[in-house]
Amino acid sequence: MGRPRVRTIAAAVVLTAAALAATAAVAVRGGGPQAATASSHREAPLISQDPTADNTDLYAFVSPDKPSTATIVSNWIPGEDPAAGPNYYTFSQTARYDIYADKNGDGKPDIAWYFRFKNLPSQFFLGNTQQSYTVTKAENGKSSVVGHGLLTPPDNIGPRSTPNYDALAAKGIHTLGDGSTVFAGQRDDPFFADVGAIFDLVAIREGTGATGGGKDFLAGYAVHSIALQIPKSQLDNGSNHVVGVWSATDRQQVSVRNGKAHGAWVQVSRIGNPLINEVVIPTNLKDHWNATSPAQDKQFEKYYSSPILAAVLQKLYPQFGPFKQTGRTDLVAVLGTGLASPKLNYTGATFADELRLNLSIAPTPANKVSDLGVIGGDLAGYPNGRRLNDDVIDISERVVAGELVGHKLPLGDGVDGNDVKNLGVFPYVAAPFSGYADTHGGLNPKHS
Amino acid sequence: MLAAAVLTLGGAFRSGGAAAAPDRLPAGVVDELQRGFAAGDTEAEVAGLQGELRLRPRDVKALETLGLAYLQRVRETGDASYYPKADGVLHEALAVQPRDLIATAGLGQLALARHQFHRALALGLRARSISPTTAGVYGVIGDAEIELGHYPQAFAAFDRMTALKPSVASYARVSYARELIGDTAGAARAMALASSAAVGTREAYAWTRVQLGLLQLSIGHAAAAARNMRVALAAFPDYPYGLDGLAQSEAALGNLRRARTLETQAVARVPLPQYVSFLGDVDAALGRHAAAAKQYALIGVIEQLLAANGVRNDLDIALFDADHGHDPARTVVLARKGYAERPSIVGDDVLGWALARDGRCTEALPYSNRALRLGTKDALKFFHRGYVAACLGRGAEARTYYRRALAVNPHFSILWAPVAQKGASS
Amino acid sequence: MKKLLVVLVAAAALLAPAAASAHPLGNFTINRFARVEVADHRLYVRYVLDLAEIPTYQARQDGVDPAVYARRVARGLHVTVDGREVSLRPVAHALAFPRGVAGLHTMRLEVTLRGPVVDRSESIAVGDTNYAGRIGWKEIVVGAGTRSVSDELRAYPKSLLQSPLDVTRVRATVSPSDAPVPQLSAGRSLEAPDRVADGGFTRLIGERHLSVLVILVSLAAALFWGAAHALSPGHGKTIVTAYLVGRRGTPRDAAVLGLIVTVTHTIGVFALGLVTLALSQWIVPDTLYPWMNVIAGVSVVAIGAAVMRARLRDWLHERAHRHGHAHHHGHDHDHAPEPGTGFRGLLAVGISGGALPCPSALVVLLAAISLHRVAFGLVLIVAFSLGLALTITGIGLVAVLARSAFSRRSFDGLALRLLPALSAVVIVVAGVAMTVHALPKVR
Repeated sequence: MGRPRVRTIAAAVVLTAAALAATAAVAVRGGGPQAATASSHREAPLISQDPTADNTDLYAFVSPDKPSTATIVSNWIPGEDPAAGPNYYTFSQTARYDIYADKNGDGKPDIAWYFRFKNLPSQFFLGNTQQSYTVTKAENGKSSVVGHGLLTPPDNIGPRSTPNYDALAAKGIHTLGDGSTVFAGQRDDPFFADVGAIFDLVAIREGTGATGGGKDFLAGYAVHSIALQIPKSQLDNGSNHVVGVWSATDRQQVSVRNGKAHGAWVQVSRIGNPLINEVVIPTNLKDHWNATSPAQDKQFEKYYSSPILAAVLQKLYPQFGPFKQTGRTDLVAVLGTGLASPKLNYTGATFADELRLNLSIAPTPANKVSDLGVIGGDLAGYPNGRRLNDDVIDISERVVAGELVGHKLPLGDGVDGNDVKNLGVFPYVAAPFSGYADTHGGLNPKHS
Repeated sequence: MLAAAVLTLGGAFRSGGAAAAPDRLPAGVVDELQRGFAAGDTEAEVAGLQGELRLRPRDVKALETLGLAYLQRVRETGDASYYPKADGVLHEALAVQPRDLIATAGLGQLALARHQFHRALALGLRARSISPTTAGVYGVIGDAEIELGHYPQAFAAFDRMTALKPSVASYARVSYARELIGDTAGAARAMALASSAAVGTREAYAWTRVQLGLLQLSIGHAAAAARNMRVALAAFPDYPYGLDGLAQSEAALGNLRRARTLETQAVARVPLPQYVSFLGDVDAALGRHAAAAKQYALIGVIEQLLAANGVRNDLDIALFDADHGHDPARTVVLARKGYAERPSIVGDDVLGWALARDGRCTEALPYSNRALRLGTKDALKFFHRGYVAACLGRGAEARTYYRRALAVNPHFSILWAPVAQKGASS
Repeated sequence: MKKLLVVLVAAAALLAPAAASAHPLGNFTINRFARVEVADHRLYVRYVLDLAEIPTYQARQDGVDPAVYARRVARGLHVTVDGREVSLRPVAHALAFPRGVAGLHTMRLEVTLRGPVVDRSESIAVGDTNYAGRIGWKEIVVGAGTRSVSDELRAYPKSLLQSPLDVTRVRATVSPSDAPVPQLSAGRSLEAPDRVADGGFTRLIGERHLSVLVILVSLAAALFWGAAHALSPGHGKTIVTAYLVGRRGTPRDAAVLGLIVTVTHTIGVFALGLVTLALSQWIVPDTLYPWMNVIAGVSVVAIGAAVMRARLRDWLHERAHRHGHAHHHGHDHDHAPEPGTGFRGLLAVGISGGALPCPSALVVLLAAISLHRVAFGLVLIVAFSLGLALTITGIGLVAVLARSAFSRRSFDGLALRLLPALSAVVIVVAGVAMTVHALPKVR
């Protein structure tokens, strides 16, 4: 009996020792070498951003000045700093830029527009940011080039390099073979947000809510836009008149053994509804979500129906609660199927993250527009498509708080509009600031 | 979209100055930061995150993002004092959330930088178990497998990585793998893609340009290489890798004095042993033997320091010692130690070379053969193989390998290209 | 005591990175510090250069003439008063080569620079262009009393949230003053002995020059901390006590146990330190840690079960005896295979008591190893272990004496028979608690 017991204890001691070793290994972390970078092997970057393939925002609306058409604006390359020369911005020559339209609500594209850009031969002159591009349209299993050798305007670098910028930009509007109108090039970032306050709702500045006074962190920054103005007849399905759109970016897959620079296109970024990648999709699934198309979105539905933001609201504002944190069929409807009641843009039971636009709803006259869109009583705005001026931050916060399920709160970030006025005509997005006259992070005027 | 905001924050810091109270960085934005830091101003981002963490020390997102930002700072500055800081904050993130993807992968990256390849592999595999669809985890796994000599596994990891997400990170790894299997042209194509996908991220872009230049240099295209190095230095001024790359290009073009100036700058920033050794070789080639001796002596000091710090860098030191004929027997011991931790073709090559320089050419031959087993078209490895053949009295074989080395790159080494030339024509 | 542990671990975590090299910022930094102040109605700059091992070696290859360095530094520091650049003249300098890692040296140069007369409030601008582009700590402060974050390049902050300072330009307003002229450091201050030091227990190991007093105080402190530390929960003393009670030990047994605990603890910590250093290269501790906790917990349950089984057998024996020879009392000495507190049993329990979780001692040792003060670290740990053993022995003695007190009252009764069984139960419960606590972290 004595013997086995000693053995048991000895074994226990050894195991405890191992456990301790592990503890200690934790305790002495950082004891590794620091003095030498000792990098004789190649240390390629591991996680690096790809701004030229980064979808920032997507808009879709019935053109206010041309109601027989709908306009889709998709933006890339976040935070272009006009003053950042000699870092000039262009579309990537090795990426493919996509805009998709789903006419029957099955999450699969019925029309796809693919954009490929090429630097001009004179590109060696540093600062020439003009590019040529090709537009390929795929529909009914056939694809055709509807635009070739089209030119983007150069970036707005300053009065000396790019004088009379508006006229220059106007030359960047082209007509495609199918009757649509297209623009591609640098624009002011139409998105506006007090990023410092979006999720940290404590910081809603001085309790301003949707009454201005917030700080628009995006003021003065530019993006690269592709704008398409399409005759409604091409998008309208003739029954419920709802078209779902999304945008994406692809890069080519390569492999070690085949030695080629070309391969299958792999989607690396996408956007349908705003803020989904940032707020809804967990870190572990971000690459996967970005590579997925809306037809396969069912697997992500649970993150839409139990949004983290609702939990945050509950934690921060218990006095305004309870906030519904799970089983949010209202959010699933707004973001994944469209709203059936009120009858707005429902496309069927298939859950797919698309921006759904009801083409039969006429644009709201300028003096009656509400930036809060549908929840502001203006059915021509988000989440029925998305106009450039729709305040998606305020709308999202309120909808997540429970606006559609009878829990109304005047939440908002205190930035109610873009820093510059958008245009009344195609491509609607304002011209970028020049590298000369940049202003960042402007304060939004306070109103009551 | 939020990345844009983050960049803007960087701008806000710049204009506001250090004294202005920075706006608090919300957790949701931080999320976006981890992908975005390379694009913006890492320094401002670091400051923002530090501020955030002083308010909320257990914010996992901020911790892991700061860890990655610290690692990025090392890439940008060569300042290794960020390593222990990165280590600390990433471990703190794990303490709060043991199965955190970013912190796990980040620690894997850190282990790679410290040449702890087994550990890096373990971390990479753990990260994969947390998220098999995230491309970055295959980068950690593949990098570790490469250094451990597990090539099929490494290549599979890289292929999976580009299938999940073609990006600068995955293209660059495919490029390196192609270079290893002797497909230099394919490697350059992949690196050009990497470079294109890195547009807008200064350091990553500069890095891809340097790698592209080094590839060109390896096949003797020194002028093209120099152009790429200059592009890198324009995108990221004083980038140590760019300074070293341009110095090597200039040396290959015969501009030794310019090479000397540039390499001196690189050494002043980051005194890696291979930089110091190259500077010494340039000095020697310029006939400045006293200066060369100083550089060589400095390598001895660096070696001492590395040993004291527990850095495993034996292969590089062994290569230097073998090149310069310092204590051949001890060099073999060093190379064996290096080989044990990195049984890759680099390990094979250096151990074979060290054995050959010690006159143990029969022992050297299998290693030198193994070093070429992937079909790598590396002039130096061909030269080493030729040297072993010559030492074994196989004249014709030696000449073949010397010629092969020179055909790949006539200026492959200041020290050894002339030896190869002599041997090839004898 | 928990607090102490936290402090120790925290100190070690802070210290460990620095310990890897004498220079917290790495071996090739050139660190710069300037203090601008008005003294004796003049503008003065106290300039400090701190070169890590590699630049020091490079500098000494060419020979270091401090006067030349002083002039160079003066040229590289640009000070304007009211917009006009003024010239600075080096008036004094001090040079030292403090010991660094790997038998190498670092270099610390202090220079006093004298500028123009200041007889009214002036706005000044300072710009340091010395060693521009070189990695290192860059700090400028204005005013004689202003705190330097790095203690003038003697103690670099090791906070995880502090990037190396990068201040090369400063604007300020200075007023006339007749304060004394700034003095150069000398002796230990110039040698910057506190550069690698840190607060807490681990700091004791970091001391470069160990005076006898420091050693004695450290030893006393270590002894005390060890003793106190043994009182913290989960330190095996429950098991030890329970064992002594359960096995009916004598005071001598308690003393032997104390000795064994000391020896085991020392050896254990030392061995574990080595194992840890080796393991940390291979495994991911964070992954393993929860599992190891579970295993440790299960092991304690096993120990408890073993003791319980032994008690059960004893009890059965006793019952058999009682039935056999009703008047036979005392030790069942005729059952040799079951020595109540035989040396083997004591050894086993002593080992388990000595090797049970005590990361703080391990941390001290590892810090000592990384600071190349292994011997001193070992001595401290012996002291620490001794303190630990004293407490455990003390508790054991109390337990033994308490039991004797019970015996003297000649209880052959329930309490005495229940205590041993109870002690086994305590061990099992402790083990289960450890396991349950550890389980949720395993995933």
